[in-house]
Amino acid sequence: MAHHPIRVDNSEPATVRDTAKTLGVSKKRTDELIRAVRRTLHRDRKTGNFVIRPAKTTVRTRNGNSKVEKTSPARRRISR
Amino acid sequence: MATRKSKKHLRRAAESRDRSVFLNIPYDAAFENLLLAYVAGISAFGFTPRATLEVPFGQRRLDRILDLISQCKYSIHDLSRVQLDRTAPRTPRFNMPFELGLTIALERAAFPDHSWVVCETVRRRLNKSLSDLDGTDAYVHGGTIAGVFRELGNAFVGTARQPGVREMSQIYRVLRAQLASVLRNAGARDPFNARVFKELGVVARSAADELMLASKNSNTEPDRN
Repeated sequence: MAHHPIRVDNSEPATVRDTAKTLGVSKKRTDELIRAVRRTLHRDRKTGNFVIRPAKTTVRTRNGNSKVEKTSPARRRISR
Repeated sequence: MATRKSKKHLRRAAESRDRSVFLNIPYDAAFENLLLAYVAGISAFGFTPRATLEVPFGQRRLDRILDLISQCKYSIHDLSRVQLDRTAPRTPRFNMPFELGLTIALERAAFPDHSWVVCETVRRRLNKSLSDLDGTDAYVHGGTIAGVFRELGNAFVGTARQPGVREMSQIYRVLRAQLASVLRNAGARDPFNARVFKELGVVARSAADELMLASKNSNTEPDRN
């Protein structure tokens, strides 16, 4: 038996805009997502390595204050 | 004028097809990590992930699935879920092998340039679960994120871009970091949702571009010593 690999021609890789257009994500939302990714990715000046910071999302609490949430909401089990 | 427009449209559709990978995976909570791993890995290679998550449930779902597969030049079929599900009446999932069958039929009948691979968690299980595929080895990822990255690296041959496991892991971590806000924005609870899947595709591509650009710049930066 043998593996049958995917032979790829060397066409240009898809850009973010190509991907967004193919998937039907709006230009405005694409810009927001690009900005969010840039905020997440940081280069450590000393090591030169990338540091990925968790995205902080601010939510309004019941007493009117705001708090930063880092965890994802409860998940539900789905199947196809 | 109309001809020029339609030619442009056809060229764009062909370019989009050359860069699209159809991802045929189980949609369950236990597979969330691997979904993100596949999206990260596919994006690292410069491709756009597509999945039936994009197709709404309705009368023409099968036609739309066929359309979606034909819009992709490559496909990855993960046949890991062969167990019975938990909800009564307990059944195995037939969607993944069915979509693999549709893909092979389309490849044989209409799109001979379509390439597909099969992924599995357990070695040699495919020989038993789908013996019609004898002669085709599955890429065995062992159900781990690192395994998915390793096998994607083995599966894609001849690409100009050859991202390593480290690069794919970085994209994966960006996806993980952004998942909560993408879910919240879509009002969804899990990534097995059309809008969330599409936005994760954009996030992964954006992260891949940023990381590639940075590594290219650091390679071309003149030596200051």
